[in-house]
Amino acid sequence: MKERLLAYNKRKWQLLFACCLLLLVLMVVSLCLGSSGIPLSDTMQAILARLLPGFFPVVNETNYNIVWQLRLPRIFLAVIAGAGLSVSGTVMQALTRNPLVSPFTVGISNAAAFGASLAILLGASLFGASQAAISAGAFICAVLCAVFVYFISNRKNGSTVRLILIGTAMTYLFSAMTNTIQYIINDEKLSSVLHWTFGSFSKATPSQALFLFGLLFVVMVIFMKNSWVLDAMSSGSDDVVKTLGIDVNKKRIILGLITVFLTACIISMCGVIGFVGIVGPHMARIATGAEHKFLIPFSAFTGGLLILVSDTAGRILFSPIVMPVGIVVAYVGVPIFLHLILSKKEMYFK
Amino acid sequence: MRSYKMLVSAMLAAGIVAGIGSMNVLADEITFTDDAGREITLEKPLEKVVVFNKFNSEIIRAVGKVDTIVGVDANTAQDTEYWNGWDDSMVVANSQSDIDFEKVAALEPDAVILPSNGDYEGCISNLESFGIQTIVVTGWQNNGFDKQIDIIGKAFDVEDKAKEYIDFCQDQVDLLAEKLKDVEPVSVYLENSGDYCTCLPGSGWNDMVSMGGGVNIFNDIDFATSDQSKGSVHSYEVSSEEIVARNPQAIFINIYDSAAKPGTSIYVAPDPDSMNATLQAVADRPGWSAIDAVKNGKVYGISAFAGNGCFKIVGATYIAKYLYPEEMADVNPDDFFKAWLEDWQGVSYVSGHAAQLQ
Amino acid sequence: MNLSVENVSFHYKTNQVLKNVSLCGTSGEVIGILGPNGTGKTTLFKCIGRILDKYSGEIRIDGKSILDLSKNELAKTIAFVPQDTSVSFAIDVYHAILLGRTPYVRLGATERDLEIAQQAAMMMGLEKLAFQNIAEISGGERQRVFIARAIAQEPKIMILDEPTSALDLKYQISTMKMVRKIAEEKNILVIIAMHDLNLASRFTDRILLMKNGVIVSDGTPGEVLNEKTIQDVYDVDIGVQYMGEIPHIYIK
Repeated sequence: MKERLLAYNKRKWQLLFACCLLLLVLMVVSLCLGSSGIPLSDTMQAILARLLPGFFPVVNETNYNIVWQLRLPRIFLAVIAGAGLSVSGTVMQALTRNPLVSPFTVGISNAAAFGASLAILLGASLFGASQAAISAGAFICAVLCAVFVYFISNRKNGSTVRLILIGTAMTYLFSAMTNTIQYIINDEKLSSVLHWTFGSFSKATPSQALFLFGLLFVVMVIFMKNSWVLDAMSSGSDDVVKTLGIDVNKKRIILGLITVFLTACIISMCGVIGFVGIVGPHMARIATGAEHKFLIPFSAFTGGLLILVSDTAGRILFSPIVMPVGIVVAYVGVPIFLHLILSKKEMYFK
Repeated sequence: MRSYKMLVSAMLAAGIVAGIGSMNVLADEITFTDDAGREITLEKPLEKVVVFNKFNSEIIRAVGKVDTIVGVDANTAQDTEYWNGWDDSMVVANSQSDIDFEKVAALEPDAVILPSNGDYEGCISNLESFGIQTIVVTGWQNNGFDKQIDIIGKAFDVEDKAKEYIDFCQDQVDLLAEKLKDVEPVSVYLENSGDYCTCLPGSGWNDMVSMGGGVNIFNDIDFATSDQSKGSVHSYEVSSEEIVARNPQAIFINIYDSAAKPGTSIYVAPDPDSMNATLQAVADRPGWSAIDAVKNGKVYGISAFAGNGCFKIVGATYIAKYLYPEEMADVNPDDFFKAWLEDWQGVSYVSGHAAQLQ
Repeated sequence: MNLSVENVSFHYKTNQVLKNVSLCGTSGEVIGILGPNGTGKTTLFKCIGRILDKYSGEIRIDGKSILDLSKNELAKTIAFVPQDTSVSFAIDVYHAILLGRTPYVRLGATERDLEIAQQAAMMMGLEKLAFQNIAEISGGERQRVFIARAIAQEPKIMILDEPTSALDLKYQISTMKMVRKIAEEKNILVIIAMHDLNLASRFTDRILLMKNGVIVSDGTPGEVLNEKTIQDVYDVDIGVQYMGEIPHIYIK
């Protein structure tokens, strides 16, 4: 029996490795696609010139810069943001034992949108130095909202249902507050607000991508170390999990706050990108089951893949208009999601 | 002694050569300040540019450098006839704030020229590594148009032609001021971009009305302290009763051709019948028969294209002509419009951009 | 191993749920806790398992108060099989059993953990179901999985909260047989909350009968299950027949 388990595990690691390779390949493919119509050979040349500078000279400097300065930060950020949101969704679902929970169930996304709108209302513009103010506003509001929800729902050692309900209430509250701002704001700023809300990577900078990469790496290490705890916490009610020796409340708070922090950082840099926080984990669960040792890295893969595909499609399909990724991800993800639900047996029930 | 003289002469000669040499270097470089206050240094005059905002392109065309333009935004390119063949293939940005940097970089221009309300910060950060200069020129800024034309003149090294253009514009401004200096100002309601939407102080449309000798009946509203959800300084929603109460002596409606993208105007003149129908519909609004302008048939339509023409000086001339026929007896706005279109923009004059309600 | 519960009282807000409850148990014993619904059985379990710790009185294991044990040590000592075995996310049976090794696991399951879980699975006859989705097996089978998990925890005390209430007769009997086997082979103190008096009578060593948070009677089935006591506690009209020493309750 245990040999079979070990064999299964080995298969899962192999699958994961293969998927990572697939993701890398897709990133390279995406690197070759862009609105300026650089021929494939030129793109490959630019890639090789960077990776193996001794062997491949830079043939066309403009194309080289387009590939590495304009396309790469964007692609990198897209994959990291998608991975981060999906992993956050996975952990939140484990903490709340609810497969329909996403980072946004706590109300974070609407809180972030409100924070950004408020910053724009108070004068920050979408361009230039005050861009940081918008990100800061989004981040602060997201974290405040999450802390509030946790604090309230934890007061009486609350069950997770309470947390979800309060989070939903916050979602509506912040949505109303954002709508209020949109109503009173003038036209020029309104377009800024909407532009930010839809989520996009067009303002990706290498430093942002690197920061998020580092953050995601640290967070994933923490989550992986806690993968057993997450398995246990998602397996039964709080009382039973406590008898296994786990400090349920403490773990929930700490892991939950880390999730919130990661999500808030991503939203504040990339705008609101919904849906991947629910679909990413679900897709991963169908492939590898509910064991978090595999689920966490796999959901990082599915999330990164989903956003990469969506962003690339949004860049290419409607040129020169660049469709925000927040919109495209729903179009891309929903059919996949429906197909998965309807064709495969569900990996969970309730 | 002789060696000492030789040394001094040699040093002098060296100094002169160096001086001439450095002056040569200085002579080749161009420096100026753009509209965002940034110091720009060009090694040579611009030869290949991407331009966002059609008013910037107009200035560049006026100084004879339209052939240097290799990429524009979608709002500009839609007016194919006006730009002698520019179409979607020229488009590298949806608008001045929604730019496809990859496409811009692929064109390998010397510079990108865009207004101060465009994403110039994005241009700087994304295009710097390609060696593409970002220059801020705000062609739609009617006040201080001479500054914008001057920047273009320096950047393309056509300062003489630029000066000529400035003079052409300024002469007309001075002419209007001269003709209108003693008039009894007529109160005007100008409607822009939506029913019951007018312009406020701070908008170029408001300035156009003033330049034409009129007084905007809503010039007492300060946008900054008012209900900003009603729009912007260019198009601010007011109530029908208020318009009736303020009883303008003349009404001007900005006409936007339905063939153009929303909020933009094109070279093709609006269809005269539909323009008249629009004006009639305005005159027929409930309660508006009490307004003096309607009673006296002083309801006018000017296409936004003409209104915007030449820093709105074309629009102001039409307004002045309509409001003060006696003072403006020897001034024909069609002439100025024609001169601007044909001499400075290189396109034929089209009639029908301005009309009175029949 | 000796479990000693001394004068434990607990109240939820104003509601006094347990009043001066005392009991003792040793390894290898099977103790049944019986009584009407709402009589405090689950609360008592929660106190013993330290899910609730605001009780008055003492609970000691081998003389040491459970409040002095770390959560981890307590988890290695007491295993809990809940009444409600529904799950939110489905995992393999084997994996579910493996979760019982949580108190012993550092980063991941070791070879030894896998071995212990396997043995627990085999003890409960779950080899064939090992890689089945836990959501797709029957209620009785799922019950066995949770018991196997508790076994894998290698506890000294196992508490089962009404394990037989939702099962059919066959599973009720087999569960109780397995519970006895576990108590004997693993030398564990097993405490079971149950409703079926006859089942308790047949399979337990001792019975604690509770009513309104108080222990009414504590002793062997023969001692506890007599007509008068049962009629007082349950307010029903029954009779008791003896099969040898084992009392058998019938409805009049």
